[in-house]
Amino acid sequence: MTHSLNEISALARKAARGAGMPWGLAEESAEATRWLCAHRLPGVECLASVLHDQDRAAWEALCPVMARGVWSSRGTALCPIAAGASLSDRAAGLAGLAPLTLRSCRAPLMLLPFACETARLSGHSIGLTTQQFAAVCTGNALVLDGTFSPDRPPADVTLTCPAASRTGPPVPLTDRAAPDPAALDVLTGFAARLYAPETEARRRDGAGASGPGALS
Amino acid sequence: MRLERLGAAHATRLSFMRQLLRRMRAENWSVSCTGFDIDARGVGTATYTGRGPDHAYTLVAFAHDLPPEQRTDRVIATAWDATFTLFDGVPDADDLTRLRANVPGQEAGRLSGRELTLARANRSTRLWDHVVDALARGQQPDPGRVAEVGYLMRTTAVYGSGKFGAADRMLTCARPECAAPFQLEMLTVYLIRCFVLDLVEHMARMQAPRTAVPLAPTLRRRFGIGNSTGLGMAPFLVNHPALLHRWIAAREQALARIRSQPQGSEDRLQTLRTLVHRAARLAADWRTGHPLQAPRVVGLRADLSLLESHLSGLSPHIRDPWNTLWLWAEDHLSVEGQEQLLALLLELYPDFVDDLAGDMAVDERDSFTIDGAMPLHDLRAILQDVYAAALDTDWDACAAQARIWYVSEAKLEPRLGERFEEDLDRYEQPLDTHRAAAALHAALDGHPPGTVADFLLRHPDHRHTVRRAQIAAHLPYSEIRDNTLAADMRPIDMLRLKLSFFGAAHFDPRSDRWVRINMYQNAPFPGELQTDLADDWTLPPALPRIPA
Repeated sequence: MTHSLNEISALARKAARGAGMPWGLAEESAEATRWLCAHRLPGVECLASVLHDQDRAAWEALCPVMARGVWSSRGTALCPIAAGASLSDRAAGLAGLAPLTLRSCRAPLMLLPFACETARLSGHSIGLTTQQFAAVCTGNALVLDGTFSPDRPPADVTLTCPAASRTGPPVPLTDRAAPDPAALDVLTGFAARLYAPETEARRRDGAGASGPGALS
Repeated sequence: MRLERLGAAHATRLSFMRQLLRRMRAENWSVSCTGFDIDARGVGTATYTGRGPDHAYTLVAFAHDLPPEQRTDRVIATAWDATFTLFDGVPDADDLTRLRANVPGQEAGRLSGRELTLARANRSTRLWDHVVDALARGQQPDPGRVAEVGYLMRTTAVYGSGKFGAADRMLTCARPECAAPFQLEMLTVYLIRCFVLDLVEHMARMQAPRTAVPLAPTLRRRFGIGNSTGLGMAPFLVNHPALLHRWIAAREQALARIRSQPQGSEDRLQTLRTLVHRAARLAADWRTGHPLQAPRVVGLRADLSLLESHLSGLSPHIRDPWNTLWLWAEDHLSVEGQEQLLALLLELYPDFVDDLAGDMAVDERDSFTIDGAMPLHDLRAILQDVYAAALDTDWDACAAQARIWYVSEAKLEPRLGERFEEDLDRYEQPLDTHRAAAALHAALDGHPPGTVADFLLRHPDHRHTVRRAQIAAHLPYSEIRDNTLAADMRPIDMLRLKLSFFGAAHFDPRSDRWVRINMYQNAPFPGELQTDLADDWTLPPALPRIPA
């Protein structure tokens, strides 16, 4: 069974919010997950792993502490969504930031959509390297080498700008996703936290009067 | 735009139904019933294929025998009189088997990338039996009863854009026939109308094969497809700001072009007089029992009468005739009347309007990324401009935050609750545009000068609102200029705006959050698309003038 990218994105947004992210970061999570799936990368699995590890964690434990040349976390690891959003927010000053080490980042694959968007905004290519993979991110393509299993421990990521050139074809895109069902279940579980329990009064009043027996 | 005006919107020639039918006529689309296997109880499968120059689209329809006590328009329904999907191309037997296993269950089933939309419809019990019985006896149904309801079935949801596994919009949006918004959904409803009319004639034949007759063509066109819309659609305008901007901008630009015409002509003035007369006939037929809408319809009828008198005395030779008329309307007509006039003015100048239809779709990812380099004083200025009313609101007053938008665990039905009567805060959906803007403005107070990036690193809670504010700064129609949590906020005002852009008519609210409408009423059927009806079906014909 495959999924549309839109429904992956919608689920990711709800799941991220259910796990305690503010709505704006839940939106970033959704877009990042969709982007990864479109690039045939395990976006759903990565997000499930990130949300599982940082469920309801405080922002202070997840967000980057920015020192010169190094971003790190006060908590156990950097949240890739928080780090990625902070990176694209600073696209205008990217040349001054790089080279940059992101210390102990969860699911570093999730940085790729933000790196590509930052590359687009800044007009410069961005290189992202971890022990697992090496990527060259431009505004309209991703070149990627390596392995991408989502359940590795957090890893250091090196960001360079411009990227060292890399040969290889850009990652081809797809318009359907086939995520791991267990990872989908994790996201569905987080998303369910957003839904209000049913009561007779809510059922009666919440949607307005158009039940059986209403004028047809 | 404010909810008062959005809630009075009328369909115009920019509407998505009108765009679809103009295209189908210009490109000579064919629609054929390629399968109709329905028994005497009205149960079975039918397929209708629409062919354009490059692609074919097939409506797959499943008709069911629904026990009346299960019939409901609500999201929590689990069974319907008919269920549908629009297939990309022509389905084979394996596809039909798969669809038969999934489509009747609607949200409980799964679609593939070959399916484009998912829909369901329920009968109008008031009218269905009457029409079947009349046709079975060899008679036409009573036109008065037909006019009272206007449809035999009404859809209760038409899903597209990747929902429940269907194809994402990006798979089709490069096709010319799919470029405009909601074309596949509009095509789905158009084909559903074909099916429903065929089905009712079929049921009459099943009941009385020797005496049954089909509907007379003029009466047949009097049936549209109804639609019952509730809170599921209300958040759309808030959740798709860039798209809302494009729709409003197209209509505003059309109006501006017309208002800026330095002169009119006798012909155009006479055309407008005829259109107003026809609109008055439409208003006379507009039936609603709702205590909010009924007086507005009475007001609209009075407005059109006033407009008719005003136009009868007007000279075609005054300068800036349409701007002068518009300014007169702002002073003399209700908002309903003004919005109806806007739709009629757009009909006068197709050449100035129809090209704008091509600008109504958008890739929302283009307005997603936050500009972190924006200085905070610029952000503050945006908030003071776009959300001035929000900054003036007393958010401590109960009436300001009386409502709360949430989603129920019951089939994920969207709902609107009373904040201070229930404990729902932790389930709140982010539809509080004005309250959030005011909170952001307050958070900026006392923040050291810097950039949006600096601010969001410390205040991630405001990221969503910063994104909205930056969108509103360059897309001014994107933000509804009203408090969506207010005690007196009416969700039907949001529903009406979107439905008017679909091309709907006869808005009939059933509460402050449910509305019935009619789609394609009086529209030509596929075999009639090459007639003058193809782009002139939204108003009843003018009555012949009786010479004095």
